[in-house]
Amino acid sequence: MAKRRSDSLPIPPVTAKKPRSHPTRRRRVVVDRISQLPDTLLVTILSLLPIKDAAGTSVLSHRFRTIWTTCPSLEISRVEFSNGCRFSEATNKCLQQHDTDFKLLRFSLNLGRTDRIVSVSMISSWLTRAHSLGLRHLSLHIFADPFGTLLPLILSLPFIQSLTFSTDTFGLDVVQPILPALFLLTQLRYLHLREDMHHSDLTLLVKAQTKLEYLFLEDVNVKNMNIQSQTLKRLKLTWSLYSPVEMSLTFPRLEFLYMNLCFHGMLNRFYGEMPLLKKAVLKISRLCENCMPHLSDILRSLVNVEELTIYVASMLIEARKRTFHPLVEQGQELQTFPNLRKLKVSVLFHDDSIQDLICLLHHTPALESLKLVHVDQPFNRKKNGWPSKLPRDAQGNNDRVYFTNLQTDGKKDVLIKLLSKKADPRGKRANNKVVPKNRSHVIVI
Amino acid sequence: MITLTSSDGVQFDVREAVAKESQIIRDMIQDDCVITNIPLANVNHKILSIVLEYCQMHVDKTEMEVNASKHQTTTGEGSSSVPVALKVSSNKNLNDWDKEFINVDLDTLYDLILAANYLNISGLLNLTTQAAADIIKGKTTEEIRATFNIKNDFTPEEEAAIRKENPWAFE
Repeated sequence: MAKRRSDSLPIPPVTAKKPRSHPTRRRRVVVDRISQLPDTLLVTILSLLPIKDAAGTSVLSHRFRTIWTTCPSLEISRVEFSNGCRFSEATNKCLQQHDTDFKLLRFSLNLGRTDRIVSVSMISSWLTRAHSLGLRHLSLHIFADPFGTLLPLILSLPFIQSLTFSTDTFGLDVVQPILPALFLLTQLRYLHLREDMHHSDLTLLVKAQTKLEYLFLEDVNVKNMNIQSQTLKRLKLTWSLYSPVEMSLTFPRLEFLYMNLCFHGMLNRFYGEMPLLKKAVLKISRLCENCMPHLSDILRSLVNVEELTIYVASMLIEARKRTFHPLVEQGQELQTFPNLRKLKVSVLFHDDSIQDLICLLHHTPALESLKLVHVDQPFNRKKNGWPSKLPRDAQGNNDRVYFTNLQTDGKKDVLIKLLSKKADPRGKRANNKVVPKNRSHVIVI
Repeated sequence: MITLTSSDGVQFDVREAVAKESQIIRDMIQDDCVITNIPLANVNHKILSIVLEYCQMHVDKTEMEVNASKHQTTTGEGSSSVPVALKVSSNKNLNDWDKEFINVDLDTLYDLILAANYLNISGLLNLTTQAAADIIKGKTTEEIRATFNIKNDFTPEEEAAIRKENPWAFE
């Protein structure tokens, strides 16, 4: 602990009136202090500007004449320009005028949807130029066609560390494998793909990366997804429509997983090896009873997580049929989650799911907090729907409830009792329900 | 506790966690773990107090989030000489707080940019440089010159020639 010297000046109370001038009105400055800022700081500021504003500073004064050409990043988007020619001209000029003494580390090119004024050869020449300026991070949002044409070029850029490749396709074309057996692009740390690829190409591209830490596959339409990496730490997989039929994920170092899957008629085999996973977010749509074994497979691969979010966005419930157990596969042993501390479950909270939840609570010995959200089902054909069976909180709300400190004062047991009452108030359905062996302790009323 | 001395000799006692928001101070503490007094030659007391307000708020917010899950309060930390009163705004989003915080006059903004750069506080540097960029954004050349008092040292011919180089930038 430092003692204040007795001869030091009095400490100004920092809590007192702020020594700043009144906000909202900016006083005109008399001295031009922005021009006195060191180059590195001016560059930082200009890098944060849209490209037109940044290039526009060249005309302010001699001080600003060429600062913008030393910025380490170039982000240029078709929508900023009135037509494709102007856009091409601007991109050409920016890359041409970039000061070769300063690296261009980031290049982001966004062509928008269907503009075909920009040719593949032009994009290729931009990429080549950017690479010669020291490019490390490349982001391309382009129309569908030239992916196959551009890929050989991109694969030949050995120093790229992060790559975003995004196109607007509809997942209808049959994609052929195009990757050569050997390529130079192997140093990626970050890879974000939004483009259909042949499954063998995807496997090869991911496997070839020796430093990959973050992988984001967005609507990548592959039937058979088999990916593995020894280095990957974060994985994000999302599909809005066509999930793969078979999935195999082998990531011995993975710490975070986000998966958004469409289940119905899709996934029929899942294998996951992610022993170090700490946090997982699972979003499922169109869940049906037949899919439950695959959901179990997924949950089994998440066994070591500390934080888990399960969001069942929609369930397929046939008309006049009773609902099904959306979280725990019936008749199967649910594994214990020894490290799980935080659990969030969003699902249609009817009797079956409350029972599943109770089962989950019995298999999560370290659980500290629990968030529950009732999700109304878009496919709900039952007239009155299934109202939330969650217990009400102090405000009388039972759409979302939150429990904390479950490890203290037997709060978890109290909660389980409370839920048990909710799930089956009079035990009237006890007869027509098959209680699996391992869950016989769950509902006792 | 760490004592930070401003360029004009004013001392501030702050918690180590607050001081460590600065990368340069973090490195100093790491290299010499008994260090308790750090003189900061390039930051005066007016700017340092604002910088510390920022650091304090961000440390408090992080701690509050950690503690929220444990359902504890942060009252045990009140012994620091840097404002406790800031915790009043605890419910407000940190981004909103940042936005309000950075609403300063240009002179203060320059000083904060320089201080954030010197002390290597990446969050504050991002916030302040973004604020400067936001002031430039969407303005015409004349408006930028007027706002920042930049003297146009080009002849009209020179200026026209530069505009001609990149006409797309001036549309």
